[in-house]
Amino acid sequence: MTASRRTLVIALLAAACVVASVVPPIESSSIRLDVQTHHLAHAVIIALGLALGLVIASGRPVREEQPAWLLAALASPLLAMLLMIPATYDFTETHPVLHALDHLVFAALSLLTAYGGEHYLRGVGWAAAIALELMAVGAAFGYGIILTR
Amino acid sequence: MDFNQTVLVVFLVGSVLIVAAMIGVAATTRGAPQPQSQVQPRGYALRARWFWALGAATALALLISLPFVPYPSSAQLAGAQHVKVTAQQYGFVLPATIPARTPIIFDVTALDVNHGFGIYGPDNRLIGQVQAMPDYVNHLPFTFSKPGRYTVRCLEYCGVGHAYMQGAFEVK
Amino acid sequence: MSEPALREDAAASRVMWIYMLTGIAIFALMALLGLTMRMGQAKWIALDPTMFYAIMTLHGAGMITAMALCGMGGLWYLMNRERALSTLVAYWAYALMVAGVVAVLLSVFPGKFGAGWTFLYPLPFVGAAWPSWATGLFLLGIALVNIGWIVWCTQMFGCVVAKYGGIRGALAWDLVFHPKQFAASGRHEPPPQAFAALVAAVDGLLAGAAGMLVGIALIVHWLSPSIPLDPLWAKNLTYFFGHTFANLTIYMAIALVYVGLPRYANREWHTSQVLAVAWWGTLLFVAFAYFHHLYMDFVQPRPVQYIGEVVSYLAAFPPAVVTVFGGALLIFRSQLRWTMGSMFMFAGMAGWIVGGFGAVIDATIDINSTLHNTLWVPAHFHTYLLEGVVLFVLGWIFHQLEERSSAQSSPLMRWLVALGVFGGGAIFLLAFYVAGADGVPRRYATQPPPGPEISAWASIGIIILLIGFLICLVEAVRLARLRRAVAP
Ligand code: HEM
Ligand SMILES: [Cu+2]
Repeated sequence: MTASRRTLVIALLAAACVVASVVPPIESSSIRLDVQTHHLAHAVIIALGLALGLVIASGRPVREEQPAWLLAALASPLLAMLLMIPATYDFTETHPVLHALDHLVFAALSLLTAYGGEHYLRGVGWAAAIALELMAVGAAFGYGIILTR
Repeated sequence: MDFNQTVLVVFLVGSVLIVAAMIGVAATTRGAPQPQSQVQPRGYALRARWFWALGAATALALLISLPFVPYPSSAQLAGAQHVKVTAQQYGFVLPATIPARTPIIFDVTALDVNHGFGIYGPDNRLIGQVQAMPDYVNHLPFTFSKPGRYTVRCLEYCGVGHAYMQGAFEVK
Repeated sequence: MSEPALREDAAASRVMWIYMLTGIAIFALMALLGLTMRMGQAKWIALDPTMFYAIMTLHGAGMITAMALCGMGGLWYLMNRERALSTLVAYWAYALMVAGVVAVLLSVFPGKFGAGWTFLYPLPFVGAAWPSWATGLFLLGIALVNIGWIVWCTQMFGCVVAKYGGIRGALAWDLVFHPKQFAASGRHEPPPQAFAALVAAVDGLLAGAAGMLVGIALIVHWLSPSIPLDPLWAKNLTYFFGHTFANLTIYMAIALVYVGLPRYANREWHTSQVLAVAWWGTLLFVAFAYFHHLYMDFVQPRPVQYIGEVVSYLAAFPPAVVTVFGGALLIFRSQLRWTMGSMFMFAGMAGWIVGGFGAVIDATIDINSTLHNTLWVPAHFHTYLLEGVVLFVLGWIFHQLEERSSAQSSPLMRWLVALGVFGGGAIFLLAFYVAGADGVPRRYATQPPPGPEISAWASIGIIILLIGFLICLVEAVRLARLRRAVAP
């Protein structure tokens, strides 16, 4: 990617991240999502944040271990998952601003996951990103909901 | 010899053969040594044959075993007599008698934690099982040919009383 | 093509020893708990159920973690020779795992937590014979072990990706599909142990993520019980985590044999195309084999059950056709020096295959109907863990001690140890298999007949086994002392 193309992609992804985080809670504050859909919506925001982190980090590949960044890459997904508490969804859906903030935190933590991973050592950001995305999607199939067959 | 005992014998014979083969290989280190470059080509040729043999055996085992799954077909579900089984720490709720030679579907669920519904025949041998899970119903098809007293034991760890969790029914 | 020089440094070998000795120490304690359980089942001692299940929980969690620690330390040491690794990160992983073990220990003694190391939802919370704090502490402990594991996996992943040129290089993709160009390019293929590192890292991260997800859900549920979890979902995640984590201990420990056994045989164990492809298989199979834990959950999607059987069968191929066959070929008509180290490594491969055979049998859906959750299950996994992984680790430890002291054990010692560890072990395992085939359930504090009688035989076997391990310990200490004496 040329530098200008990269800047463009970063800008677009960042915009998408913010829009996906802020617009739905504010614009459709009257809509109540079920827990599964809400989890999946978070997974979308997280995916955007991860992509953004990966693109930002793609500039200068890190070839020697930077242990401090490993902490960021592992603590961020943990925190993100800890914050995805289904019981809070009812509350956030009636508080649009808080809800949007909540989403921005997810986006930021995802960004840090991917970016931190790539800065620990090249390639690790991808692994951390895939793991976080799988957890976010996985949550939709049983965390806070029972999908009796 | 019932099914499980046959399985055990097959396993033991196989294990003895495996161990014997390994001991046989170990014993060759006592004989005249050969360089690796000489051993390897013959070993690789043997490995290719071993691969195909094991592949054939595996394919055969899969072909033979896969049709015999214990899961009910929709036809079975529709045409059978349903028997409700409810598991709870530490006991089962189920009918006292079950008709012999009649296709049965056990509709098995649990009220609290995971349990197992394990059926032991009059000779005290395990003949089938299914999990009893809260929020879900598992359908276990069964047709009893032998009348007699059957014991039910819990086959999923469910807490301190697990080993005492039993039930029984009479097949008539 | 000259091999790149291997790095050896004192800091790295300290990491290895700290991991391994911690693992072995936990193993020794947990082995005594194993004996206690069997003696309780044999009615030699009175063990009330609460105590039995607390011990069972600790034994399961402790043993798996112990073997993971040994494999992690060993593989870390081997990979550090390929590419320098940060010892700091290794110590983080170690500290997290040890903290986790301590938390689990405290939750069991004095907490009496006893929901099994598989902590299957909702058992930790319902009808518990232990206080609620014990549940929380146990879940926290498992989470810490898992985070430590994830740290290690991440470091390994970064290592193989950086060293061999991305995932593609770590998989030896070009060696398999473009061998001519690969040879011409002058690149080095990853050594066999690097495949173990790759598979442990990738499957380990997947399992770690699953464990993290269900772990967080359980901890949140513990804090706020009104949040429901889907029992089938929790079961899938829990077994994916637990099965894969336990399974990977074998694939980590086998790396020690890849490096150790050739030194005894004075031959080379190289990466070939076949070996690479075998590890691709393992990478895939390990990720899907856990389905065989849910055969008796008839609500599980049907295709998943069939995939479970096929994948479980296929999982036997890489070890049976490549690794253990390769190990046998490596020593065939070689001038192998039989020492404690080589004996353990070679015997461990036999244990792996025998246990694997027992596993494949049980992974047949139809057979699983009458073997699931009987003692057949601990039978097969103790075969490849106790007479597989443990032996690989002991083999490596003796290998290190023998190399550094330039001494070895007398044949009499070896025979005594073999008699105890293999003979006693065989009695212990056979008792599990026989009882399992007789339908005696696993995890029964009090067993229906013929359980107790068989448990008595098992206990005798365990005592013989433990005497064998004790002799091992004495011998290891002797060699370690020698090593100090010759060290400058
Ligand atoms: C040293 C000898 C050992 C002895 C005497 C022993 C004994 C036992 C016994 C009696 C049980 C309970 C069986 C039951 O009734 O369900 C058990 C379970 C178990 N063992 Fe061992 N064991 C030994 C070594 C190992 C090793 C090396 C590992 C793993 C690396 C291991 C892992 C486990 C696990 C995971 C369980 C299942 C616990 C559960 O059901 O929750 N054991 N062991
Ligand atoms: Cu039970």
